[in-house]
Amino acid sequence: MADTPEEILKDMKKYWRVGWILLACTALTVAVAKVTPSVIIGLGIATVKAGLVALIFMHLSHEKSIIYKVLIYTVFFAIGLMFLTLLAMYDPIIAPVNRAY
Amino acid sequence: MEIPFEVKPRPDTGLWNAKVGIWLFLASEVMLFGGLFSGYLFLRLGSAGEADYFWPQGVLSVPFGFVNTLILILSSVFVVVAWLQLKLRNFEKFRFWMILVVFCAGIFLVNKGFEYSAKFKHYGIKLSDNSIVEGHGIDDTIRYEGIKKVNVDVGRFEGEFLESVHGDTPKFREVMSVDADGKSVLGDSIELSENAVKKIEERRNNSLREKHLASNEEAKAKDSDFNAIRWLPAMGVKQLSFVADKEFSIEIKRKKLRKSFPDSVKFRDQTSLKGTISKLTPGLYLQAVDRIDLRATDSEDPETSSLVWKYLGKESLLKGHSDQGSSDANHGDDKDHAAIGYNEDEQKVKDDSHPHDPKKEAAMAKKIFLGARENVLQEAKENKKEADFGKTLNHSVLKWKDDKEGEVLKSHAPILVPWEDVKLYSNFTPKWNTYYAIYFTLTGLHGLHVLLGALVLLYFAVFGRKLFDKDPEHMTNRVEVGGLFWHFVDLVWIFLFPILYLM
Amino acid sequence: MGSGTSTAESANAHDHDDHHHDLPFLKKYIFSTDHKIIGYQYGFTALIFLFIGFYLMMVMRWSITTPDKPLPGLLAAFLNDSWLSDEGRVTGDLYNMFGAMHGTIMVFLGIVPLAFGAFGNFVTPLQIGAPDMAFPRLNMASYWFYFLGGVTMLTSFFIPSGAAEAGWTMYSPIATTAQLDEPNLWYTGQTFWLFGMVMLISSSLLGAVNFISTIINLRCRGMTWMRLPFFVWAMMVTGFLLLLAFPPLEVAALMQLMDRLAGASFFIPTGLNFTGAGSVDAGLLDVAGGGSPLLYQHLFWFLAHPEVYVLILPAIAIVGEIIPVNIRKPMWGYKSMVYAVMVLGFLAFIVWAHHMYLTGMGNVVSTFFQATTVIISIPSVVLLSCLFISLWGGSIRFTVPMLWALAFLPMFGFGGLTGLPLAFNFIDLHLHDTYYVIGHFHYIVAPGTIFGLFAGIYHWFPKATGRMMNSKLGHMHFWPSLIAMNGIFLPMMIQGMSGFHRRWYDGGINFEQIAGQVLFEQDSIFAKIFSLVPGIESGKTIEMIDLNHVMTFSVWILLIGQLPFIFNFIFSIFKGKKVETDNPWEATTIEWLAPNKPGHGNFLSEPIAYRGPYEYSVPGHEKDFSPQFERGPDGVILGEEDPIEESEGAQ
Repeated sequence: MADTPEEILKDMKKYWRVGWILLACTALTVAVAKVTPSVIIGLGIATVKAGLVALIFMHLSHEKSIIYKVLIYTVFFAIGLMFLTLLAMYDPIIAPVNRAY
Repeated sequence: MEIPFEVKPRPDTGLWNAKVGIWLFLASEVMLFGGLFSGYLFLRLGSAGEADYFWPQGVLSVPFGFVNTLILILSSVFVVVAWLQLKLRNFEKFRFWMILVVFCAGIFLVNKGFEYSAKFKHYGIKLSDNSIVEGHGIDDTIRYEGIKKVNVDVGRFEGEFLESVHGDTPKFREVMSVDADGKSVLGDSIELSENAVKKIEERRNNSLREKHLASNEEAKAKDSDFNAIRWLPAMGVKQLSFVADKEFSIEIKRKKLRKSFPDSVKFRDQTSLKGTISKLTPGLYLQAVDRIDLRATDSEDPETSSLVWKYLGKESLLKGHSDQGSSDANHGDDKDHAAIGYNEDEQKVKDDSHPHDPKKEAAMAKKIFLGARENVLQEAKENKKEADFGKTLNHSVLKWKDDKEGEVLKSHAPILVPWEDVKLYSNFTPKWNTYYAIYFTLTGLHGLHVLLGALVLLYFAVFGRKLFDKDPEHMTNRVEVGGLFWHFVDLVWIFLFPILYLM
Repeated sequence: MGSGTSTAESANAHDHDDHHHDLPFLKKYIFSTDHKIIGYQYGFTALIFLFIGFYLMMVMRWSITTPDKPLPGLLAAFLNDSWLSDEGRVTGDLYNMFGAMHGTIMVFLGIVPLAFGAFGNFVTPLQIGAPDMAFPRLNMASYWFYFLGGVTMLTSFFIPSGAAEAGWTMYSPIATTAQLDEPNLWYTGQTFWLFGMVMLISSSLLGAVNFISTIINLRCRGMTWMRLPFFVWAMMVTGFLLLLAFPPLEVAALMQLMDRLAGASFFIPTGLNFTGAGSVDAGLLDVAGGGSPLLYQHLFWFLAHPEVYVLILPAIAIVGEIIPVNIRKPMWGYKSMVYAVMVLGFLAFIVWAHHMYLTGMGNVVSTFFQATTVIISIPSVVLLSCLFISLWGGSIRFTVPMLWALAFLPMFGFGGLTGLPLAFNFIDLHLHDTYYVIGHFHYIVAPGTIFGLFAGIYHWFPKATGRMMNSKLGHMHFWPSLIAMNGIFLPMMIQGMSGFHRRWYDGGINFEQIAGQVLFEQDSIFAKIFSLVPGIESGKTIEMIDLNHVMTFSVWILLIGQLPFIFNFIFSIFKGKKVETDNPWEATTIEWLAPNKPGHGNFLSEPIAYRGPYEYSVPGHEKDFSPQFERGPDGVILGEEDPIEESEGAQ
């Protein structure tokens, strides 16, 4: 991690740059949503933004190994948690029915 | 005693304690929001399988959400800048940026407050044929007339119904017992209240208890082995009936009741009254309908036979009634009773150029709905595609530009839905549908995180000086940890914005 | 400083203590940030809750065994009279309420706080040679969150609606619609349960963050990962289980709160027709619908399966500490145990739906979870086998803690093995919600975990108080408990297989299929033995339902068996035999380096770990134990590398 004043100022510039990119991405999402309300594009841009925040702002681009270990373990189960939805979908009560239309 | 590695990192892990701690905490937060997102996914995918439920899309104001996203991203930048200023050992600049962060959080929350309150004022009604109308200015006053008999649940009675009695509160006489012919033996005339019921309960229980003890004695006299059963509350009185000395009527908002039937009504404290619904309050009244949704309706051709068209344009009788001042003098100037939910501001918003004629407004609303539907179908035909189901049967009917005639149509039609045709009504809160349920849960929990995070950051900005002077590195570490939390809150919002506002 | 010697430092230790005596009582014992005091706080509170849970169970057992008799004064004395029926019997509602709260109190307020909160807090920092937890104030906060949660749960008994009554799992929609007839939904036991749960979850989360941070960052010099005692490893895995499994339950609790209070329908399907307390309320629920009860079950069991490992791992860990000390030889397969416990921590997250075979999830899902469930038995068996094999060839000291630890092994094994049939969905269809299931998991948590916890109390008591617990009273506690526990839970297995349902508040007497299920013929020898149990008439055929009398009789024996413990525990704190050394058991782990009744900051000199945790009977050593904190004889450094140089080199 940078600790001399020059490097800190360089970091500061980097953070501002990332900030502007994030703002631009937000505008892009809204614009895209106006044209086509695509779930994939919307979530794709959101993932890129989230990645920037996590990697740059939260310094995950250069972190100690033990934190990565904890996070990998967590993310694995968080994704598992999403599959929980699919499991719950097996509920026969709410099984898809053919709509009249 | 000092805890090691509070400030300096531990050589082999390369981390100081709080950094390990905050990442572990964030890991659990990932699981927390992960669980909620999984709930969102479930409800959204699940809604596709429901014949009568459609996931609302585009119901939130995008500009609001957009501005909030920008604010939160900016605040995230400010946090790192503040942290870097601390690394440069510049406390004053740190304080400046940090207070800016808290300010951003404040704006975010205020915005959120506006968004919430707009939802609280917006109503929807689901009719018995599953068609939906939405709008402003609800009046769910219901009046029951000709009430004489009151049944009270002794354990739960809170005197709720007494507050809604229309006119003078009558006196009540307790039903002491019912004789062989089915005629009631009545007690003295009293003022009914929680205390009065308690007193009667006590008196009755005392006599029951004496009876019980006496029968115990008697049994013992006969059989010395008899095991006496002590007096237990379950042996006491549970229900009491009262008869009013004159017929009376009650007036109350429907949503405050537990259950209402054509011939009886039940309060939340389990008090039930027998009476009939007044002709003045035949149904649920919505002052200005702004959207009609017939996607889930049961009727064969919703364009003509939906119940919405039957009831659109009917005015509340009670409203007219009160306006004329012919109702009870006691309630004439009591706005809450005169026309509950009658919103003067809403009235002012109305376009003055349109004379307020409910019938005409209703016809206009129907014209808008069908016209817009015709357009969608036409367009689909031209493009040789199937018409968008969501757009053909679900529109705003507030305002529409007729492309053919170039005319701008506006409507403010009221609707009066008879009670028996109301399936569900609510403002846009979790009760209305699962979209709002998950919306409020997700954003509410996120808002709570914003609030707590902002408070912690504010504490750093205001009271950080002392620690900074003592050990600037410790202070820097603290701010880094606070910042990590703040970025996480931002990160959650980055996902919330598209899934709630855009998609 | 040698262990086994009466240390001069113990006088020193008192100075050390005196230094902190100027702290006011409130700060020293109530709002303390010292991990040991917080451990005691957890311990005392949890023991009280365990007894409350025990009492609830006794009332339920009375109702099961003798549903036709009024509750006796001894049990009714603590009860609100208005809960009883007009003949003084336990009502079905009361049974439901006590059943739900028995589960909640035992799991969330009794065992987890005692195992994780008390032992984890007291032992972990001492074993890794840390002066305290990484975040002492957070530690205090987690205790007080736990306390508030407990108070909320207890208060709910005294409000008009009574406590929660929808089973400890609080399945929706039954939990969402329970007590809906109350005037104020905020003021109901169900709602209190949810709020209490949110607080308990917060407490556990804070605790887990603290434990893992402490273990990662506060290990003393030389304490490399593979030199950590097994207990610490187990605590770390338990911490991760809590950290990642509790948030989904918090989500479920929040959603259920929204369902109850804000009229949301996360877990309420469309068109739910429900019957309220009185049939007057029957009808469609006034909500939108569109949710799914199954979502709740998934979220709940995503927590609650890892939770059962939270219940058992600390006990295995305690037993894993006690066995090497008392067999005077190294633990067999230390590394396998560490890896097994890590694998267990991972697999625990992907077996949850085996609690839900009956929900109609579909074959694919059932099969998947059936497979993972069978796989998870492998690490459990590894743990148990290592502990068993350790005993081979040891010179066993049958001390009181060792007795409990030894009893733990077969009891836990029995509980685990009876779980295997339940892992298969086709067998589970038959056994689901019967007493077989109850017997299975009680074998794990009652004679399993609780025995482990008792072992721990006897084992670390001298460290905490400087006095020994009386060993005669310890035996008087152990033997009745062991016999009574089996007297309670073994018959449950038999009853369960013949179809006794866990929710029968009358024990099945009113159910036709129960009648005439003969266990022993009238004049068999077993029938004669059984007729000795009070409540069973002599000379009659013993039926399946008569086992209820055996269980209830055993419960009373268990209660009486706890009296020596209560007496011993309180008596020994003040009047027990003083221990003369800091290491009375001649153990090797670092907590025995600290003076008895360690002061704030724990150690008098900086502890350094020179070797692995269980070096007993090392050839060539004069003593049969070589503590972690002792440099080798004549200044020779044992172990692979010199820890001091190692950690200094890193700096």
